[in-house]
Amino acid sequence: MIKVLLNEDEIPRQWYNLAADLPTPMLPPLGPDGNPVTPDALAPVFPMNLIEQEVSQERWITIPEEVLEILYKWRPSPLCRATSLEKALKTPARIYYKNEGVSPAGSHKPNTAVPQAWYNKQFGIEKLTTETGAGQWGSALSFACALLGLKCKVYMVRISFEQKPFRKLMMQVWGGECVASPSTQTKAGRDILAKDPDTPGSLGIAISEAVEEAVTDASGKTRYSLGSVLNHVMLHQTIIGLEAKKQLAKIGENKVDTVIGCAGGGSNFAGIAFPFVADKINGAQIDIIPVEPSSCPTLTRAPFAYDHGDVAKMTPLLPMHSLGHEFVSPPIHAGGLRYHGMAPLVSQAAVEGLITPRSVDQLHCYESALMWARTEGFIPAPETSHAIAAVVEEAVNAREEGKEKVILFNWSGHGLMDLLGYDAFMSGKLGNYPLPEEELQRSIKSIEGLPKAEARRTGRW
Amino acid sequence: MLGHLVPFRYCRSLDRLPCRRMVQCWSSQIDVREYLRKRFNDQEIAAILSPGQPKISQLLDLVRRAKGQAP
Repeated sequence: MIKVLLNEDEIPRQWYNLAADLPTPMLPPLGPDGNPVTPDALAPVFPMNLIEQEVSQERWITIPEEVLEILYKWRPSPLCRATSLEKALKTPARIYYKNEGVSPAGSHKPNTAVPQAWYNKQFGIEKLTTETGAGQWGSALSFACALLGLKCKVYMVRISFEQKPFRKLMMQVWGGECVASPSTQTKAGRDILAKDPDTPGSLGIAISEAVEEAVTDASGKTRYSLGSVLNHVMLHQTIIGLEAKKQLAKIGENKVDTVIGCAGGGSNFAGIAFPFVADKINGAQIDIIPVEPSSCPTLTRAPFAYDHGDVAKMTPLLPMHSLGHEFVSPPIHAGGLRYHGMAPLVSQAAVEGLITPRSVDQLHCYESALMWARTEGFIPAPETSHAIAAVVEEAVNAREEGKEKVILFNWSGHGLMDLLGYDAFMSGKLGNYPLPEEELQRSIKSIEGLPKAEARRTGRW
Repeated sequence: MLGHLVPFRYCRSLDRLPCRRMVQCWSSQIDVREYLRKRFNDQEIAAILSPGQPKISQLLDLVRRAKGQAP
């Protein structure tokens, strides 16, 4: 048995909302004024039906039939067993993965792009705006808007717009309007260009442009869409894990030992993991592992925060390259997991101890990706390779311990649009860039005196 | 997030100030603090190294700016 398939009539018909079951309830998000955000405050950017999902405490939320009709084009996605990798690793572990690379856009992103577009259309919205870096989210939203008859405008960071033309072309094929950011089409973009016409752009500028276009549309028919971090995005992605549970049950795998997903903003990890987090809350023994890059840790290492006094006291401790005017460091690979925010639901699950974050280095990821491609065949996205690296570690541990573990992970997308990253790895241009321990300790010390967010946990895990 | 190789000059020239992720991304190769100290004043460095806003707060801030209500 290699693939476990579900019929369309077996697809889960409700999304799972972890917010309903977290032992310690989530605190409401705070606005810039420090007060809890009200649903009305989000109305300029999101339709009210999605805002209701964002703040919902309902455990199960029904998936509209019209959304399922579109998801059927590639869902239920196959649950596959990685028998060739198991053999190569000589592991007694059984490794299963959800292949989310079969979606039209090639990743898990359409799982939320489609319902977001649908709910916007129900609300009378005619156009969605968003920002994108590498283009995975922009192409997913363009695809969803095409099928639902909405206009889609994607602000793509200029440096990526120029270096990664194929995602841009995918958006255009689906009818999306992809513009390089900063653009002349918004005040935010024009202001930046006036100061620096040659700027390569940034995600910060791109999101400013996307939000501005939505907010300033006098017709009120434009809204903004985000592909990660927010609660309703996590919700939509849970269809991955819910399908996996049905598929595992179908072949008699009643006990999963380890669930793994890569984590940047948190959505593909949440998708595979949250239904199993629910089991863990109810007593199941499962290791649930979000995997992030060691170069950009969010969950596994301490956050950074500084006040003025700390900054003034900074002294360089590390023996490093001299920084003369001629200094040119080798480039880093800015993969999709170098994200600037983690989903609050994922963060709270980590604080509770329900999930156990792990970090892996870049070269280990690419080595694991090549092993995967040369055994299982599919070329994974660089982000997905982080999950694969952790799977390999777990499978090797199972071999050394002689345990028949069941490992499940989210194969979140293919890497056919990311071959330049593979080229950089195979030609030796990439290195490992973990955050140095001295730097970490110095940063931890520097925030000792600062007010910290309350760590709210029950202590059960 | 951008999905390709990024040189240090990109991260140091983002917007008005460098990217706040500079320390995490570059500290294994560059003494980022020394770099910042030579080029920015304390207030700017504090802004660069401060934790980012939660996403919802960021969005609301952008809405306010887009509506021309920013202070």
